[in-house]
Amino acid sequence: MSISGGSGIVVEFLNVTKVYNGGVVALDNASFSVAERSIHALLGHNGAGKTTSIRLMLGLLKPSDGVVRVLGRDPFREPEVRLSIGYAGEYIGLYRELSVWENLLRFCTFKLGDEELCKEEVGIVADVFELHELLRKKPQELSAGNRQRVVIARAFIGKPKLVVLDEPLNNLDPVWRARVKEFLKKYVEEQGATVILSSHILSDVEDLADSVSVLKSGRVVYTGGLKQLLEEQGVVKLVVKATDRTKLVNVLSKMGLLVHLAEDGESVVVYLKSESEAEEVLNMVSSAGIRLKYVNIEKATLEDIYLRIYGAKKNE
Amino acid sequence: MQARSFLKMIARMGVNDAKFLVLSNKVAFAGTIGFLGLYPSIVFYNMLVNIPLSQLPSNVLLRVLEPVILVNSLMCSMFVAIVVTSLIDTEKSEHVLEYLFAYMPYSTKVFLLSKAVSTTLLAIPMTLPYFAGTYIVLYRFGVADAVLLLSAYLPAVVMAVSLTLLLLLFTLIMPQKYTTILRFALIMVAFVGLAPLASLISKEEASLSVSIAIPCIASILMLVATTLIYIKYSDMLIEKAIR
Repeated sequence: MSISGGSGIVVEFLNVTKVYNGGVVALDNASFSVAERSIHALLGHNGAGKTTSIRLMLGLLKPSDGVVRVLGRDPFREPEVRLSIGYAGEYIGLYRELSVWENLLRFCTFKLGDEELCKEEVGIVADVFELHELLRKKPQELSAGNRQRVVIARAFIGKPKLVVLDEPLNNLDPVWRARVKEFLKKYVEEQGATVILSSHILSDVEDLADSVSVLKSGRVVYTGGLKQLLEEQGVVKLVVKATDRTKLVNVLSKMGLLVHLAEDGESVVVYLKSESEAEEVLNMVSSAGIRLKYVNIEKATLEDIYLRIYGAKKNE
Repeated sequence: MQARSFLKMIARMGVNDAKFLVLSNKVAFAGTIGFLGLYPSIVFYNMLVNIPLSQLPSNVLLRVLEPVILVNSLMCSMFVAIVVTSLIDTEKSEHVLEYLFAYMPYSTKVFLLSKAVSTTLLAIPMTLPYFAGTYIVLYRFGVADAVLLLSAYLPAVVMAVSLTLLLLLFTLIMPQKYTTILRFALIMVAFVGLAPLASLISKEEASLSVSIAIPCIASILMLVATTLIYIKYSDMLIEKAIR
């Protein structure tokens, strides 16, 4: 894996380990890269290492081992790269004493220095995220959804080349979730920018992401294109319920399939490459003399695959 | 390049903090400026009215002015350090600090050091009466004595930087309730401890230049020590503060 600023790679983690004081291993030999002009999602349970990865990208933390490159630079040693990064974190991080306008202006001048330029920039994001009615209010006077819009808007001040968003769609109503998703796609396309986001809402990730990295206990268990992941892991989900579940599981296992128990606790689930393969499996099950009570063939979602990755690794 | 970045950061930090203080709580900020500005003004007024300058021998006047300037400018710097570290406390508890770090195009070490320096610079407008005092000395005794007197300001400023750095250190790693107690304790120490210090300096038998040199050297040593502590531990402290 090469580390270069001009290779079309915006963020690169190469064998990165982060051990906090006290010995907590937040990232363990993690490697992944993010291509420019793309939306990359970081997935993982709480404590998997997503926020630590984001803080390493921002240069807020120093890796214990390995290399982190952002826009071709080491963000910890060359913090000026932050001028090209927008960030919206897990927390609101707004001054309670200042109005929304004063908050946005303060953060912008802190980053860019020029107050006149910042007035213009804040005006632009206020237009995009329809904040004009909120500008005079204090953050605590806003609803959770409106506060989230302000936090997202702040990340786009100055049109950064890289935008890092930690759970950006939390608290937004369905209308604004759709609008923000649309905006992110448009931003990447029009500005030639890159967006990295972490989210637990996997349907949103499926709508948005070009590529994903799945983290588990600080390790990268998958990294690559989302389409590729869906194809590799099986695009069809076959749900079957039989009168004799043990026999069904035995037959499916003999066919070399990885069998999962469905949420209802009775049905079993297998993931397959195509619908025709699912039909073949069903024929073989029938010819083994198993009586089926329920059959469903559906498109596998990212959530299915994510849970599979987590489940499979758990059993290893 | 590094020095220029550092100076830019001090300016940016100073402007932002001053604006924040004014925007967030205009009354309290104005009150602080008023109180801190008024206090030394009264001191000078009393000196000028009750003790006519013409009747004071020059060495006595200098020895009266010097500890007053040293102690009061230190006190002003200390007050500002307390105000600004309480601002950092708020920034930490409301997770604003994480965003400031994320948006700042400089390293966190530069951030902390420039925060301490800009904090001290914020104290200067509050100590303008001292410059007035220096002007009087300049008018009465000439440039050399005025420069000497003005240099009494230096240890106060340097000590304020060290003090702010130390307060920042505690603010980053300690829970808010403890840092509030710490700041309160510091104010008490300032009130109780500085007056005897002033009288000690004014009664000192040594010459004026020696009595100014001692706090100067002490404050510079203190600054070097705290800066070294910061350079060594700031990454760890920041990691702890944003986790």
